[in-house]
Amino acid sequence: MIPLLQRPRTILLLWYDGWLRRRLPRTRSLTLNQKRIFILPSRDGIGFLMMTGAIFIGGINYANSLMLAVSFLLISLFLVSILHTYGNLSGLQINAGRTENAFVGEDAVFSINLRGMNHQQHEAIGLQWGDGKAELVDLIEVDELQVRMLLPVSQRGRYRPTRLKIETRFPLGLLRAWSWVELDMSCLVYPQPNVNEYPGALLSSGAEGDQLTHEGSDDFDGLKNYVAGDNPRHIAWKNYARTGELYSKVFIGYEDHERWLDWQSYRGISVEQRLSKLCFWVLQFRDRDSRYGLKLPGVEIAPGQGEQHARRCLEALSLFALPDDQEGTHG
Amino acid sequence: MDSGYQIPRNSLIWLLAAMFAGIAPHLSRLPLWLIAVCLLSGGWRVMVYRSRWRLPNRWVKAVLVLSGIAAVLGHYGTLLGPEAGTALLILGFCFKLLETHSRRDAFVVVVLGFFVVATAFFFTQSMAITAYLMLVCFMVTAALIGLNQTPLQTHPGRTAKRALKLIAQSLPLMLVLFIFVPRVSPLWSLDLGSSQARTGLSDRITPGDIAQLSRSPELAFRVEFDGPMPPQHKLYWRALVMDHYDGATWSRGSVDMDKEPLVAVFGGKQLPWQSQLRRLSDSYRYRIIMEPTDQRWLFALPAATSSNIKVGQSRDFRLLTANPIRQPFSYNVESYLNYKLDENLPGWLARQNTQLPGSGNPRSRALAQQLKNQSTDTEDLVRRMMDMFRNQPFSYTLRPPRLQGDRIDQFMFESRQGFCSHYAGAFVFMMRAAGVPARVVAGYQGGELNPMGDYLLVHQFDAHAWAEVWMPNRGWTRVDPTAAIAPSRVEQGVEEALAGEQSFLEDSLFSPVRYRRIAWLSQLRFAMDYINFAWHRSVLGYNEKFQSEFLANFLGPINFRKLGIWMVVGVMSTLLLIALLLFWKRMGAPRDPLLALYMKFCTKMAKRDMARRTGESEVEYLGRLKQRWPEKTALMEELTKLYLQGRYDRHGKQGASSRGQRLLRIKQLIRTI
Repeated sequence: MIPLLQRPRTILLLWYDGWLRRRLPRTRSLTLNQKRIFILPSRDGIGFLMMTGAIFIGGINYANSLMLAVSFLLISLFLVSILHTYGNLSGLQINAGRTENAFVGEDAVFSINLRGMNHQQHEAIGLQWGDGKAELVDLIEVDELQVRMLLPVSQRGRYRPTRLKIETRFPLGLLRAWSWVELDMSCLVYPQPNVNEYPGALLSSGAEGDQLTHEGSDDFDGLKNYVAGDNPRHIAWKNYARTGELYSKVFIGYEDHERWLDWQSYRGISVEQRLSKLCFWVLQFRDRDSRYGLKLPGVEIAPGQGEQHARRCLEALSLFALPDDQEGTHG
Repeated sequence: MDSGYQIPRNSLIWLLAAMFAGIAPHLSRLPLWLIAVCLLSGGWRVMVYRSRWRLPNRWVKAVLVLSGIAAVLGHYGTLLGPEAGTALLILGFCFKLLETHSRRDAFVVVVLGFFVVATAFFFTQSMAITAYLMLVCFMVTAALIGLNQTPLQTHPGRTAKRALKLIAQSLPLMLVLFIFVPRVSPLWSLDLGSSQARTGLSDRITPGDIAQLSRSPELAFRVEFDGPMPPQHKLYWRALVMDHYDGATWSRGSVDMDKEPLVAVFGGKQLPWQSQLRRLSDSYRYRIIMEPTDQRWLFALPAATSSNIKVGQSRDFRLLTANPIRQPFSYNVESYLNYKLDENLPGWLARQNTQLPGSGNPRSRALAQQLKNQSTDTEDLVRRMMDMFRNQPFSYTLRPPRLQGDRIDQFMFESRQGFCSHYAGAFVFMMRAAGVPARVVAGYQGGELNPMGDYLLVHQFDAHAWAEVWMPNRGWTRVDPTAAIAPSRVEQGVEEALAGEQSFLEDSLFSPVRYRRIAWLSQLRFAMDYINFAWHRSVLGYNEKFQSEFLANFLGPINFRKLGIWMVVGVMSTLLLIALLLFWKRMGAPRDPLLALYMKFCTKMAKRDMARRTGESEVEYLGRLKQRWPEKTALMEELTKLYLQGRYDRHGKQGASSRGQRLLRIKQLIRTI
């Protein structure tokens, strides 16, 4: 019985999904209008209507015109609030904003910019992605608002959030107006860093030996007075808190050789674990400001350093062995 | 248990305000302890909001609820009916306030607020109360809005503004619904209990009762005639017939005339006794709008029938309803002032109407016998009796001496001072003593014309008692002995009749009716009453019949289907108007003419496949346009420059004329491009 029932249900859901997609295609920016807003009575609204019905019956039975008038007033409030609830969403412009990448198990940040048209006020607008936490925001006295939304991510790769639900029950809570927005937004989900020993065997395979002098080091040596231009990552903040003076940590180390992080140096463990371990070292090297390269099957990133370089490496780890544009799902 | 949900500040403020404002009209009816419970609950909630106290736990709540129910039961003796029901509702409203753990609970509290407003109309329906309760509705709406705002919104004024807007927009819609929603008769019959003391006639008359009533300036009912009005001295509004005398008090006899089978419904099955009423001529149609009396009897001129389905007719040909009248009630009547009633008097009725106590008042009985012996027939007897009243030194007064023992004898031969009930009572006694069927009728006589609305006001001081005597070939005939003693009572009303005594409304110093000789005050009173009358007639009395008559004026004959269509059309067009009002700003083009022109330019370019991208600045867009149509560079540059100039020079450094020129130039440019 159940599969028989489920099948039409699945078909219905698929059809609904397709219909929504046709109606509300993926976009970077859109304005909510009558094509995109759905509106139905909320559970409270149905309760309200039932109470109104009770008052109406009372008015009829006691032949009380004024009780009838109260029930008519309540019905009118309900009808008028359809317009108000709809108006609270309509004209709201939703723009995809910045995204921040995240590691598996953390929260990715998606910024959404809301804009009201013609100084229209929008109050108590709820934004929700899937089962994530709903954000409730007001657009009053401001025309534009940035909402940072945190989305927990659990799978490596390119993550595209599901449709964003924009919902409001303002002003009376009797009706629920909502829209599904498929924003063209994505972020990268990096593997979860996994602490491990540095596989020293492959310590230096860079043969050219070009000596690029830089301040990055591996082992902590001591403190020196901070000079403008020092890497802020190396400031001894604890010391600063204690003494009020800025010191930079000095590292001694292997300035003269490049490191390679190689897929091949982790054998006998699963792909994800390998990536996690590599990820840990990318982060370590980034924090130490070392020079390093990354080798994955089919991907080789030449040694480099700095934020940009780390980002490239992390991206390679994130997307490793995944189809080009995977629809991210989580859960 | 306590999930820590806090009703938002905005909502709580309005909710408490609405709660106390909503309960206020019930205060006079509610027991003191219930008011104390309300105050306690409200205070408790405030303390919870300020984090001083906690919400009561399960046991405290259970004790509160059970003892509350027990107390209501103890106080009213029931949990049903409007009075006890309202008390329970208010109790529930207060307790729910102490039990709000979630938004849903809070919603229930707010919605109960609307219910409390609705129940207030069980008890009073005056215009002032209605306006006041509208205000309460507004407060409840504000509380509901507060509930749906984010916690960041803490300004109650803003919430109120929104609520006001919602209510203001709902009112026209409500009016449409009020007018067009088809009214139906009650689905089942209900009796509203009442514990209020009402002024009005009672079904027992001890001489002196009506004198009491004559001190009240309260309104009894209003009458609106279709067409001409009968002369003042014919306005005898019958309400009660009393046929039993116990030596002191006139009351209704042992046969209850207000019960089946002595009550007939108009339009229903014709009962045999109904043919005893022959309606001859002189018909009048009118509509009576009466105040609540807590009694079943209605008021009407003689020989009355009603088209109102709730109204029936009793064996003594009065109008009455199935349930006591607990709220303002209106009904249509047709009366014939020329009629014949009970031409053949059944034996049991004759017996009932000649009943007298076995003994007492010997002098009056002797006088009656003597008059009977002198007279040729009943008519002659009545004439002689009236002559006696007229010729002996009887006087009409509101301050008669107290009577004891053989009251009729004392009145007839000693005090000779009395009010209508004295005369009616004595007259009927004498007629019966002479063997003629007679009865006392109580009701109202006369009325005051309100020239503004052309309708009659009948006050409590118009209460009157008179007699009906049965005569062969004529049936029951009205005889008013008071008219023989104080003709002005019937011709001009009680005030005139008591002019010498200064006793008219002497207890009601502040009643405007007392000063009706002062012209402007009278005008004002009539105007006020006219508004009230319109309220009663058009709003409170807007029932099935009134609705179809009222709408037929505009729409022709009314049926359910027609009403339904009109209702839908009315609601839709009103909603459309409100929508226009709400979305006008958004639907129209941007107000700024400069921006409008630039948008026009962009649309024009978009048609040529060069739409402006979202977020693209004007200068970037210009760059792309120049690449596409290099030959138009100069024109487009000028246009963009003009637009940007106008846009960033908003503070009017340039005069209006240069602004106008700029717009003109841009228009030209758009055309040439």
